This record gives sequence, structure tokens and C-alpha cells, in this order.
Amino acid sequence: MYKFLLLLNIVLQCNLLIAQETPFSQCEINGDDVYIKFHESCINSKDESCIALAEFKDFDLASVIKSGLFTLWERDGWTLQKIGSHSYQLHKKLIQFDKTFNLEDKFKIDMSHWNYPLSEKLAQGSSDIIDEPAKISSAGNIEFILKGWQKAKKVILSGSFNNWDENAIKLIRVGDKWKIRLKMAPGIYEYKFIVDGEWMHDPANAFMVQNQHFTYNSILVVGKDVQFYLKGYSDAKKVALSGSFNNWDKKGVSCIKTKDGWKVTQKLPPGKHFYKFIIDGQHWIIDPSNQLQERDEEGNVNSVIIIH
Amino acid sequence: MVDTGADGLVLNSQHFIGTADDSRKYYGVSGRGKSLSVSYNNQIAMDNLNFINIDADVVDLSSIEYNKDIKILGLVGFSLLSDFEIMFNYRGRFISLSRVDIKGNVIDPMPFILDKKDSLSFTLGNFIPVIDVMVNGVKKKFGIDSGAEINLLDLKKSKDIMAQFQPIKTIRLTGSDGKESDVLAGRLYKLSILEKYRCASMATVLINMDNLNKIYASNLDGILGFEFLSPWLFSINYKKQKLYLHQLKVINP
Repeated sequence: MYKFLLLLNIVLQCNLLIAQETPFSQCEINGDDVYIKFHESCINSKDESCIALAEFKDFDLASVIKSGLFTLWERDGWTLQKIGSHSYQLHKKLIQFDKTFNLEDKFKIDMSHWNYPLSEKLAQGSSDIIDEPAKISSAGNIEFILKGWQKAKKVILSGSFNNWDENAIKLIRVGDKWKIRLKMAPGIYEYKFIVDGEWMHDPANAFMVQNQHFTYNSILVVGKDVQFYLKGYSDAKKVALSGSFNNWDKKGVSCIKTKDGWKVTQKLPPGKHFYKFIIDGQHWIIDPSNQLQERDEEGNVNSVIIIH
Repeated sequence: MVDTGADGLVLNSQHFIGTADDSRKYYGVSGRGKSLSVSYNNQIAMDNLNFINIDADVVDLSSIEYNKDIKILGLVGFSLLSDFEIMFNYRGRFISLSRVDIKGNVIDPMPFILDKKDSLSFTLGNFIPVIDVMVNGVKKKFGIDSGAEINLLDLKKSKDIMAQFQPIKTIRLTGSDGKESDVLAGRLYKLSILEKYRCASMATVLINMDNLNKIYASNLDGILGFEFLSPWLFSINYKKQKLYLHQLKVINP
């Protein structure tokens, strides 16, 4: 019994310690009031969990708290209260946000505020911003490779990223391969190779879509890695992920079995994507952990994921 | 920038010089009543479309250039767009302008225009398309503004849907009047169109819509911008006053 109590005590203390040390910030509207609750470790932190406090860096909240006079402090309508041993809340009346907004002010608010801490990077002038979808660059993020065709004189890469230009992107022959590296912006692209004037899809890429000429275009997805999880289904022999990003490929992307389910990482560009899991190659199911669903025109319900 | 929230052609004073004209009726970026600089008889070409004798307001758009780090020559708004059906294809990274006849029928449909799946009627608030949407079952009026990246929601008129707005942070904004203020930034949930197409949560800011409603001679609850438009494939047909929803290129199992 003593051992159990001691263990319980240690667990509780650890939990308390974790609770105290975990940075958090939360913005909430409660009736006519706006609160930003935060752990003091969030002050000046760039951690994603501290996003609600991101615009308060010049308030020097650390000094205000250290002074102990925060109950008297007020700035731009914000007041400060202590709500826990290491937690505080900023408070402002909702009506105080009701300020004049002119039409051109819309140009001053962009997505960077929602992509914290990405906005920090952008503010420093990241070179990741690409003003055209594809640009030849030895430091690019995507390499196109066509194996074989050693006797070919010219291989061109053409796709939706360059309006199907038939000359602009020439592949370079390296050994038994033709290669080109591009810096590509996130997106879902269709492409083909033109080998000595003959159009062909990428034989190394299983993801294709039929075009208006009844041949196939290869599909390339450039985006960020997104983790998909499916809990359970431990009796299944295989689970795959398929969706609008791979043209609902019937094989899908194979998921890896984990201790309590299945997982897979898929690159997705910004935008709205539909998906389903395929159990044992037969049963298409929506993601039970994702409440965002949409019915298509045929009445099928698909899971929806939005990438920003 | 193709800006459905702008009246006509707006040129950036960083790149174009205008002449002062106080008499000109103006709705655009700076709102009505400001003393304006105007450039007359411009010629503008977009791909193979040519517009001639176009009068333009000359306005400082340097803040967009600064924020986006791209050169912006100006805004193309309603009066240049109203003879076309405009499809916004953010996935394919193109905008198509199909010329329409007097009844709004597309004269020469382009092969890559995807099938229309559904349509939604809109009215014009001076020059902005205005649609009815539902937010968690509550009917609201929103303007469609391709020039806005983030959705805007009127703070005072949104009490009945405030539960669907989840604030994330505040944004410090230096307004065009030079005054600094905080706006609440968050995500708007449960907005649907035609009562069957539910949008995902969208980046939205709570603001005071009074000035915008004066410009649009409307009583809008908010503005839907890129956040609303980009996941779908929409076309705007001003003659038919229809917002079309196109079939996404999806083959279902």
C-alpha cells in the first residue's frame, strides 16, 4: 500500500511538473470578453503552442510579471491577471476590437499569421518562395529521371507546370539515365516526357490520369509530408491510402502496420483533398478519426483534409 | 491581381503616374470620397485579351507588393471582368476568362473548362458578388472577393455564429489611416453553400465591416476570399449572376 501511494505521489508530482513546464497559450472569446491564457514560458517563445501570444513580444510581459505590479498594468485595452502558479491571462473587451477597417487593409492580412512559426521564417526573407511553379535548379527539390532510352537524341519534360511547353525543359543524359532537377512550388502536376518527339508517361511513376487523347499523364504531388493514421484493423492483411491526390488509385499508397493501427506519410500540396483507406484491397472506408467529410455527386462520402 | 472586390482597373502608383481628379466617382480600394489620381485611356492586355480606352484609378498598392514580395502592377476588377465567365483554378494555377454573349452564355467554351456541377445565384453589391451562405444553420450574406486572402467577418453582426469562430491570436494591424489596432484572427467553422457543400474551416479575421458595406452599398456579414475559393473550382458569371461550382477532377472508386 505504501509503495502504491509513493508511486501515485511520484506520478502526480511528475504530472504537475509537466503541467507547469508545458508551454501553452489559448485565445478564447467568452461572451463579450476576449482572453489569452498562457503559461509564462510562452513569453517570447516561438513554439507553435505559443501562437496566441505571438503579437505581444513588444509588451515585455516578462518584466510586467516580474515587477509584480501586473494588476495595475494596462496597455491597448489589455489587462493581465494571474490564473495559476505559472499561468496568466490577458483580457480585453470584444467590443474594443471593433475598429475601422478599410478595404485596402485586406491586403495587409495574409496566411503567414496562421502558419506560425513559418511566419518567422518568411519575415526573414525565406528563399522558399517560388514565383513560378517550376524552375530548373541544381538545388531544386524534385528530380525527374527517365531510365534507359540511351539512343534517344533529345528528352523533354513537359507538364501542367509549364503549360505543356515542348522545348523549355531538356533532360540531361547521365550514364543510362536522363535527368533534370527542378525547384517546384507545392501543387499537383501532370507531366510527360517527350522522347525524340514521342510523348510518353513516366514509366517509373504508377500514378497516372487519362487525358483527352486517351493516353496517360503522370501525376506528381509536391507538398509537405502529412501523416495519416488508421486505428485498429489489426486483422487486415494490408491497408492503403487513396484519394484525389493520386486520382483514387485502386492500389493506393501502402500503409505500415503499427502497434495499434496503420500509418502512412503522403506528400500533399496546399488545398483541399479527399481520401479514403482501402482495407485488404476491397473495402473503402472513410477515416473514422476525421469528422470532416463531404459527399460527392454520386453520394459517396469521402474524408476531407485541408492543407494550408 | 484579379480582384472581384475592386470596381475596375486600379493601377499601382509605384509603377504608374496619374493625374488628380476629384470629380471621379470611385468605389475602389481606398473607398469613396478620397481625392484621386486617375490614368485615362489605358490599354491592357492579358494573354490574348486586349482592353482599350480603360480609365484607371491610380492607388498606392505598395503594401501588397511588400507583403507578397512580388511586383503588382494593379488590380483587375468588375468592369473588366463582367463580360466574361471567370474560372478560378487555384490547383492548376490559372484563371480563365471566357467571353459571354448578352445572355451570359459562353461564346467559345475552352476545352479545359471542367463540367459545372452546381450553381449558386448571386446579387451584386455595387460590384461585388454577394451570396447567401449558412453558418451552422444561420443564414449570412457574404461578398466574394478574390483580392482578399483571408475571410473577413463582421464582429458586431456575428454574435449568433460566434461559437463557430475559434480565435487563434491577435494581429497588430496598421490601417490605411495610420492607426494601429488589434484584430482577432481565427478559423471559421461550419460554413456551407447551397446547404450541401460544407467548407472546411477557414482562416478568418473579425473586423468592423461598416466601411466595406458603404463601398458595396450592402449589409454584408463578411467577405469570402482565397480561403473560401481555393479548395473548390468556381466560376463567376456576372451576366447570369451565377457562381458555378465545377466538377473536381476526381474519379471515385
